Amino acid sequence: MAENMKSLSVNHPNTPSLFYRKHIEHLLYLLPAFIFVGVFLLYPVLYTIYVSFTRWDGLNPPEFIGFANYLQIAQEPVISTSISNTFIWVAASLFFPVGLGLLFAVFVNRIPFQGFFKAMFYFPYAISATSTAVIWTFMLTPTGVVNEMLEILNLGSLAKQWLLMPPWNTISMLAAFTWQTTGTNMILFLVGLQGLPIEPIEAAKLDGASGWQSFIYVTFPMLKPITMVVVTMAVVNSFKVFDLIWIMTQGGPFRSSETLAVTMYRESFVSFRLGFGASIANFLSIIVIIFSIVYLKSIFQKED
Amino acid sequence: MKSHKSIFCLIAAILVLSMVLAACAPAQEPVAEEEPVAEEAAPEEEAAPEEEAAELVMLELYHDKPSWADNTDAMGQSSADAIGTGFVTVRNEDPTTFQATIRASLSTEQAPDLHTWWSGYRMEDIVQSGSAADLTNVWQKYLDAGEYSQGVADAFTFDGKIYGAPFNLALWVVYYNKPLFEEHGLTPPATWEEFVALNESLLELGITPMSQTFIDRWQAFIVFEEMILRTQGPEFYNQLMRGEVKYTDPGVVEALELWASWMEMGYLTNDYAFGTATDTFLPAFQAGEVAMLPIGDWYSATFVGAGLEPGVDFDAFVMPNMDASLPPALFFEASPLMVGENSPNKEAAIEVVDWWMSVDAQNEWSDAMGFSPPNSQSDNPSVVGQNVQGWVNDNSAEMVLRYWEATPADIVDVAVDELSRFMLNPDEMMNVLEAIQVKADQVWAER
Repeated sequence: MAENMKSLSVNHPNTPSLFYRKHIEHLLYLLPAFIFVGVFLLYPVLYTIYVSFTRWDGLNPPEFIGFANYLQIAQEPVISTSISNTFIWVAASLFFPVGLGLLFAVFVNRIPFQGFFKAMFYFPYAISATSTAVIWTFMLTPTGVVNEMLEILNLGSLAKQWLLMPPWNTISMLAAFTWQTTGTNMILFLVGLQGLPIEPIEAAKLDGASGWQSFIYVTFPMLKPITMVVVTMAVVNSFKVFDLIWIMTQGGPFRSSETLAVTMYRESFVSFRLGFGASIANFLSIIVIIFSIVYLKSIFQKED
Repeated sequence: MKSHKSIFCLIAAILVLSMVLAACAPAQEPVAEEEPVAEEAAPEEEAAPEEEAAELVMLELYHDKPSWADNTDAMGQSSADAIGTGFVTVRNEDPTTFQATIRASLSTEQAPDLHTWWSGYRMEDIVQSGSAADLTNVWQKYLDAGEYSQGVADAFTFDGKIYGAPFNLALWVVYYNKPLFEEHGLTPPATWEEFVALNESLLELGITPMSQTFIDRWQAFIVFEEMILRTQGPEFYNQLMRGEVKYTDPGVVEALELWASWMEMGYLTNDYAFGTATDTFLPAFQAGEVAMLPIGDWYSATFVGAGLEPGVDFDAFVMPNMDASLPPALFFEASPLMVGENSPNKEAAIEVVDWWMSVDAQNEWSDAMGFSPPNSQSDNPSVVGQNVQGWVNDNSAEMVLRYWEATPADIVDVAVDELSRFMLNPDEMMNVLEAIQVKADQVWAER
């Protein structure tokens, strides 16, 4: 030990006491962050993993049951509904908020009064998901503005109990989600578009490429870094969407609009099957991690 | 300079550590407020030792009904005035959050002093976990004095011990728009035939007879339980609740077929967003578009809150039996006021429960809320409550615990979702009943 200290002191220009003092200082800088991450992230993650192997109602001590909760995920009928709804949300959040965000960015990039349009499309994102859900719930009640508008347009036969009838409840919630999140995707794409070099696009035009060809073969590939960020964010956010669904339908009626995040909450805090809820949380986390790894790996492989 | 940085880092680290440790600190002791000293108090009283000074101890009452909070706060102050121990309300806006909060804290040193809950099977796991204080001694005094019926105590009794006082005892009735009935010469039905005739009369007038919904999930059981009780009687209903009869039994099928036919005939709203909500049902009720609502008589407070006068703008009746040979019966709901066994103020909380059950306290609570008081010596301030209680007494009606608490919660959770599916798709009836039975088989096997 003494020899090690000696060798360190020989290799280091400072004296041992100064060396350790400096490292202690560095560690002290890290300590607050380490405590916060440890207490509020690492500990809950490890505890959730532990709970997922137990049967626990929150009142009596947890009872270890091995992989029974994970086996139950494969057996519960509601889980298959939740998984399919989750993937509908992921697909729809790629198609609408991301697709529309790109479309709006391209158009807004070419027109005057950009600031106005940017503010208009970004405004919904400044509202919390809870407020968005409440606003849309009011709009979609049987006597709400959506049905009223349909009546005014002589389309009363299309009026519905939007949030109480599957699949319209999921479609309605996706509309609300699209309304809220398209703007931020548009802004990100707009930043990407405005940062692109003009020369390749002009060269494509000189070579006779149409506007569409120029976008598909030149502009869009150059947007890949920003597209990667937007797609990753959209997918991760849609996997974990909870607040909007919980406020608008609570996953109902008859659990028809639940996603995995909602099922996790319902099993944990409504039915108090905390072990089963924890196993769903871990299952969801594994799906998100696998998706992220596969997606990012494929992007980087293409770049290589 | 460097040493200053180190000191700063050290201080920051200590602050963070202290914040984390503070978050893990045990519960605070109850707030002790010094009783205001009267201006004319004698000098020698002011010099009295501090420990002898009268103190008001304020406990915490957790419940999930924010619209009742002002009244529970007033009760807490009255308790403080009467016995020196009061309480303040901890408001919980959402029943789900409320349940999670209570369950998470009951086994800790931060267990709530007082909290409300649900009776029957929903109370059972709290009692079995040892998280509920035994209130048998408090009850014995009131039972011996004949102020409370044994039936009320039974709703909170497990293995011979009583773990809750009645926070709210509700009778389940059918509310009706009284001016609308009077305008069209309609009367509350006493028999099933009269009830059907009433529905037909309302339909002919272009009025939807009754409201139903599943918008908050739980309401899906309301018409279900009434149909079971009215077609099969209380004995069959209780057997179903205890798992002695299957959900696929012909008796249950008959009840759901009747329900489906009522929906088809238009006796019940098919606009499920209405239901019980104050912003949707009440305007329709007041406008005479929907005439009746089956629900617990705590809904009187909602009517009164909307400016309706009991006995004038609305009244209530008990749904008649389809088979006249079945015994008269109605549903009741008993919400317990409980004391956390692990509460640091358990003894003080039990004293508050003792006061809560007294005649004076029940008079004040019933008066504030318009409820029928469970204490037989208290005044019943509600005209509607008096009428229903009169019907119960006249017919020696059997009180039947409502579905939400009468059978294990795991079955109820599946049933309310499945019954919502039935309300949207009555053709799914057998699939719905089989799905509930699958869960019931699983739950009863585990028990």
